[in-house]
Order: sequence, then structure tokens, then C-alpha cells
Amino acid sequence: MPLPTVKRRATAVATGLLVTAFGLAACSAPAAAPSASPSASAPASQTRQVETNDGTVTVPANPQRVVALVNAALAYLDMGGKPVGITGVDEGTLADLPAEQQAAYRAATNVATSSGEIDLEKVASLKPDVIVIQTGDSQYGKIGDELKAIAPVVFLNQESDWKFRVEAFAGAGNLLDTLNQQKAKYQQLTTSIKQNYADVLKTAKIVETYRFAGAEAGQFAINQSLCAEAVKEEGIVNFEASAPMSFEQIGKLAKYDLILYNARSDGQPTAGIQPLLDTNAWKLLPAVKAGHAKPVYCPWGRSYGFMAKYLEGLDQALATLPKK
Amino acid sequence: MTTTTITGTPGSGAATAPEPSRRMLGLLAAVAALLVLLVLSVTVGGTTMSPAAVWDALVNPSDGFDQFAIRDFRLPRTIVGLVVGAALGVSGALIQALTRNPLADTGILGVGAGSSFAVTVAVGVLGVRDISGYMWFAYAGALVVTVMVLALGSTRRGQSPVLMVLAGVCVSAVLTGASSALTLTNPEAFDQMRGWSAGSIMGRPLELIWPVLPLLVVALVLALSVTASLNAMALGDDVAAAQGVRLGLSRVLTVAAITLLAGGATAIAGPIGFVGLMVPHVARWFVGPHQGWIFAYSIVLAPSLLLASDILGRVVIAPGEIPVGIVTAFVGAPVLIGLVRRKKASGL
Repeated sequence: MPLPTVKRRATAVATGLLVTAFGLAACSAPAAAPSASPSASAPASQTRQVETNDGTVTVPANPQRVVALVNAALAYLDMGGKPVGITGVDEGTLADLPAEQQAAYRAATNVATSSGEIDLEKVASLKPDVIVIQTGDSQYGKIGDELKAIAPVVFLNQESDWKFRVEAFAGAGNLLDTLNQQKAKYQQLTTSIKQNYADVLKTAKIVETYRFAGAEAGQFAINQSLCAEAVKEEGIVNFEASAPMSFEQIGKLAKYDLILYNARSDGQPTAGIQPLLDTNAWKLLPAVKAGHAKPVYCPWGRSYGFMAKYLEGLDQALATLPKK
Repeated sequence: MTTTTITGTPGSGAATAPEPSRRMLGLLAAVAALLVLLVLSVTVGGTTMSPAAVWDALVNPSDGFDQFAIRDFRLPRTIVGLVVGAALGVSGALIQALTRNPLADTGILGVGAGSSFAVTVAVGVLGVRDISGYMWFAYAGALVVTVMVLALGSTRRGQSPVLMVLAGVCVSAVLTGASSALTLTNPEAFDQMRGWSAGSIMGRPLELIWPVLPLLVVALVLALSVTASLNAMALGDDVAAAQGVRLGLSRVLTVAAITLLAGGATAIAGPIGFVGLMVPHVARWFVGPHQGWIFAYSIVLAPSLLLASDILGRVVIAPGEIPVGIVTAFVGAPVLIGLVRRKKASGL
């Protein structure tokens, strides 16, 4: 499935000079001392160690200038991060985010090249303390050395566990306090939903409809969001496998007791999903007629904050179902 | 290009052309095939419905998922396929006759490139997001580029098919490069255009058709009005002029018809290749070089090919779908090879 937001490809443009220049700079810099106990409010002179897919990386304990690249961008913003540089996301994705995250995004320098790749010169010009990046191994293989010549790089690949990943990003960005708050909320919601709706979750048929803004006209998908995947992994809702569907097949949703649809952070339907909600067939669905079609917020990124918001939506949606 | 080799006199019992009764029989068979495909297009898909259910949905409309699926999606999609296919077929027949090139399609006049460039500008620069908004840019792009090509392809002696084709190819190359540059510098536009640029009739409401339909009708009338002229021009400019054909006027009218037809089809469905190339070519196998018959066959066979491809795209990877533009490309590539190897049979 095409990612609608963060552009993932990297460039190797003009890297030779950068490697030389920043390689020399890195060689002349004093080695950072590892920190035994990460602290969210550590002074700038301290360091902490972060586990990544590229080994253990030593980063400043209180970095002031962080660059968040590729799929790390949204997760980093969601933890309250205020990066100095970021990989651009499309306007549709941006519009779905909360206002404060939009503001943080707009305050950062977009380090994507005109073709959506990473502009290494622009990254270097921002003089970052640390770079966080989530991308594929192949892409990182092409630019990893150049990035490491600019600043310590916290790299997590696409296959890494999302919980491990956000811990690493939070550690790199000194965002552990926010992370812990979001994590506690996520865990509390997970537990409470499992307890409060145990019977409903066993019997109710639940589906999530998903459609991003650039989707082909007349098509949508079920159970496709990253949050639906995580909720299933967590054992909360046993969603069926994700699958593409056409608007002609909306009638197949008639068997579900609860239908979730993707919404913005304010609960309003996303621009992508609205055409589906406007169809006559959608309005005819039993769950829709009964008021059991509910919005859930899930941008294309995984973090405890996004997941907690999704669970809040799920919690409210489940509350509308009769308890058996 | 002022001369060409043909095997007989168009419309006057050419040696290679079948008898009129056989042409008519073939046309009736093509109409029957189209009717079958129309029914299949409404009944086959993500959920298969019986012809009785379709009939019921049309004559006894009520609330029901199948009824909505038929009325809101299948029927509009089928009508869009019918209209777009017919427009592509006739425009292909016109361009092949105009350029006296049996393997020409409307792309060589820059219609597709003009539409794509205009849509890229609309989406990437002006922020137009809805197909009902950027379809007019597609149409305008096709019109502007064709006028440009017509002007570049004109000399003091009038329009030259060779110059027009060269101008079309050049303008297309420039605009394709410009479109690529715009989409590369604006990946969001690329995402938004992905569905349109693949060429699809899925999810196109009838509201897209109605405003374009009068223009397509005008184009069809223009096409019919130049039939006799194109038959004469197939013998060469000098012979046509001797027969009283006003070459310049005929070419301008033909280009106008091509632009309205291909531009309209592209605006609605995005660029769909090979239909306009293959169908008139195949029609020529059956009916010989007479443009009137080629138009008649093209207007029936082209929507048949488009609908058959669309139905195939619905069932091959169900419940997902393959856009019809991709299916026609898959079908078209091997057929094109066959056409090229069979050149003698379809030469103009």
C-alpha cells in the first residue's frame, strides 16, 4: 500500500564533499562519555546511550537541535518534539494533526529535496545535535554514513517494533517525560477497554474503514491503518485482515455491529474518507443507522500518543454498543 | 506526406473491402457484443448481480445495497466506459486518417501530454484536488496544445500532416518533461494525480459526463462531416484537391474533432492508451479504407474493448481492482506487435 505522507527515498547527491568535510569534523570532535542513566532533564553536557538498528549510539542528553527524518517525523512530533529539520509531509496529512503539532512542523525546516528525497546539505546546514530516522535498511545503507558524519544518528528500520522505536526516538530527543505520560495513558486505556468491554469485544463484529486523500476514486480499504494493526497485535480487537474494497462493495459492511472510520484529530472525518461517508449505500448500513459508525484518529505514524487517541475513539465507539 | 499506397478506391468497391452486406453483418455482431458487455459491466464486479436484479434496480428503484451499487456505481461506470470508449475510438480513426498513418494515435498531436500537463499544473500549483475541478484543466490543456500543434504544423500552403505530427511529438516531449519536473518537485501532486494518470473509469460520477457530452456530440458531427474529405485525402492531397476537397478546412475540422473527443475522454478518465490505436486499425481489417465504416465500427468496438478491459480489471485481483488504463496497456502491447507485423492488411 502506498504511504500517503512521508517521503522515504534518500538522495546521494553531492555526498562526496559532505563526507569529507563532516568526516574531518567528526574526527576532531571529543568523544562523548556514555551515560548510565538516561534523564529527561539532563544537562547539555551529559550524554545518553540509545539502542538502534545501527548499534548503540551515544547522543547528547539534552539535544537542542534535532532533525527528524522520513517516518520518524510524525512520531517525533507526537511526542512533543520540536525538530529544527524534518522530512516534509503532504498537506492532507498535516491538516489531520493537532494544531500544536502543525505549528511544530511548520517551524521546522523541510529537509526534503524537491523530489522528496533527503537534502543532506540542508540537514548539515542545520547543525543538528542528533538525527532520528525511521526508514528502510536499503535507504539507510545509502545515506547512513553521510548522516553519521553530520551528527549522531538514531536509526530504526521499518521492521522494528514500534514501542522500541519510539523509546529510542524519545531518548534521542530528550522527550522521555512525554513518552512516559503517553505510554501510561496508552496502557491504562488498553487495560480499561479490555476489562470494560470484554464481552462486547468477544461478540461484536468490528471493522475499520480507511481511505487516504490520494486514494483512487471509488476505492477504500478495511482494517488498514497502523493503529488497527497495533490494536490487533495488542489483542484488543481481532480485526479481520486488511483488504481493499470498492464503493460497490459497501454492502459487505452490513454485517458489522461497529464501523470505525478515519478522522482528523478534532474528530471530523478526513477529506479522504468523506466521499465514502457521502454514499447512499453507507447511509443504509445498519451500523450507520444505529449510530454505530464512529471516528477514530490515526495518522500514518506509530507512537503512544497516536495510539492513545485511537484507543480513546475506540473506547467511545464501544460505549455505544449494548453490553451483553 | 503527400502520397500513399492504397489497394483500391475508398467507398467504391475496393478490391480488399468486403461487401456492404458483410460490413453491416459485422457491425450488427459488434453491436450485439457491445450489448453483452454493457450487461456484464453492470452485473460483474466486486459483488456479482443477476440481470434481473439490475433490471429491478432500474425500473423499480428502492433502497438496497445492490440497488445503490448498480445505480450509483455500476451504471455510471458503464456509461462512462461507453462514452469514453466511443470518443477514443473515433478520435483514433480520425488521427489515423488525417496522418495517413495506420499506427497513429491521438498522443502524436499532443492531446494526452497537454491534458496531463494542465492537470499537473492544476493539482500541483493551483491546489485543485477534485477530479470535477481538474477535468476542465485537462480539456483546456488538450485544446490549447492542439491549437499550438496546428499552428506549428501550418505552412503558407496550409496544414501539413507531417509537420503537425512532428510538432505534436515535440510539444508532447516538452510538456511531458515539464509535467515530470512539476511532479518531481511536488510529490504531493504526484500522489493526487496517481489515480487519474493511471486511466480509470471507476468512481466517475455521471456528473462528469453531462457537461462534456455536448462537446462530444459536436465532435461526432464534425467527424461525420469530414468523412468524404478524408476518403478523398487518402488518395493524396492533389487528387483530393482535384475532387474539390478544401484541404485546410478539412484538416482543421478533423483536428478540432480529434481534440474534442480525445480531450474529453482524457479529461474524464485520464490517459487511456491503445484503444484509439487498436480499434480503428482492427476495424480497417474488416471494412477496408472507407472512413464512414471505420467510424461506425470504431464507435462500437472501442467501448467494447474498454468495457471488457474494465471488467477484467475488476475480477483479476478481486476484491481489489486494476485501473482500465493499465489493463488496456497490457492487452495493447502484444496486440500492437501483432498489428505492426500485419501491416499490409491494414495499410491506409
